[in-house]
Amino acid sequence: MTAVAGGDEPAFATLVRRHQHAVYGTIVKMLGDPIEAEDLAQVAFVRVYRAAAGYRATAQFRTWLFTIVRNLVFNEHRRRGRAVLETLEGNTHDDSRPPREIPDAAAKSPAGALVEREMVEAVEKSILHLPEQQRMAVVLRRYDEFSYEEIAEVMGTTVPSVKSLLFRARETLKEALRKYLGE
Amino acid sequence: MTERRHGDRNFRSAEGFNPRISEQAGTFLKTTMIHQPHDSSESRPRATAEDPFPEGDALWDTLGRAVPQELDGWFAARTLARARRSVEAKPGWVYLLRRAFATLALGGIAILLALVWIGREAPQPASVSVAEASGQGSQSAPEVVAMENSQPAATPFDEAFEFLAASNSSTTEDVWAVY
Repeated sequence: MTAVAGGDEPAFATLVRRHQHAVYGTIVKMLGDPIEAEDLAQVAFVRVYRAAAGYRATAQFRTWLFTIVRNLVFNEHRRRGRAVLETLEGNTHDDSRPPREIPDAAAKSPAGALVEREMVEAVEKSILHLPEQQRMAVVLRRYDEFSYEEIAEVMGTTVPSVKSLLFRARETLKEALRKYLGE
Repeated sequence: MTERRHGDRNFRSAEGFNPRISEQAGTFLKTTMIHQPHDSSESRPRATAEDPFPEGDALWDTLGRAVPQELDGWFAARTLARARRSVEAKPGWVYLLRRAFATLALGGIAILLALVWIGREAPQPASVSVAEASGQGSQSAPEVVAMENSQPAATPFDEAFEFLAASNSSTTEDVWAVY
């Protein structure tokens, strides 16, 4: 970041390459829209570029970056009025289908691939169905592997609050993905 | 003495275990007391109040099946170009000022066009005073005739003006009464 603050463009490009997949993946899981997510990911990095001069290393860079991501995502979410969630209504809680076992990741048969795809879709939809605060906490915890303390910092809240969010999210996800959990 | 199995996240090291005990006793402990999971569900960590979303439990693994989203190799270059443009771009207030001027100019043109249109649609005789039409004072009958000639067709108003001019009446009430 010091190099970026000094106008070092290759350093900025390296910084982007290092974090782009995490940032993009988080935004996709939050919004469910890959095209919009790419744009927002760019906006996040542009903000980093513009704020580099004033950046003070009081927190981890990754935490700071994801705080920007969180603000962007929540603003975008409010702007869209949860339109994405409404389009996804219906399939996640469909109990008419028989329970399925978790397929082997190495399954090569068409049936296995179909089951795998169904499960992946169910996972993504169940995450998108979570309230935005719970979703953010789950995505940061599971896909970015943040600690509870880091999540609390990114979300501007306390560790007990993060744990409460995750606990509630967990209950919802367990219910939604019951047929895939094998418990 | 005790080997840690891969994936055995609940493995508890033999804290308090005395390494100097006999090999026989050690073997006994190993086979009876040390946790040795037999199935995957037993080996998984469980959610607790302290760790409500533990790494490696069933939900963790299931959520991990989501397909990772990745960007192409040009994302960084595109982002750098966008960042450069954002720095070089004019400040927001210049943009807002330009927008304000453009809006005002367009609004002014629209108002002018509206006024011209209204002016074309307005009735012409409304601006003629009764005194002028009646020929009283400095006005004379030929002027009224000239005004009549400028009209494409005679209206009831014109007839009223003509009648009143002939009878030397000059008040507004008279004009309306005849009309």
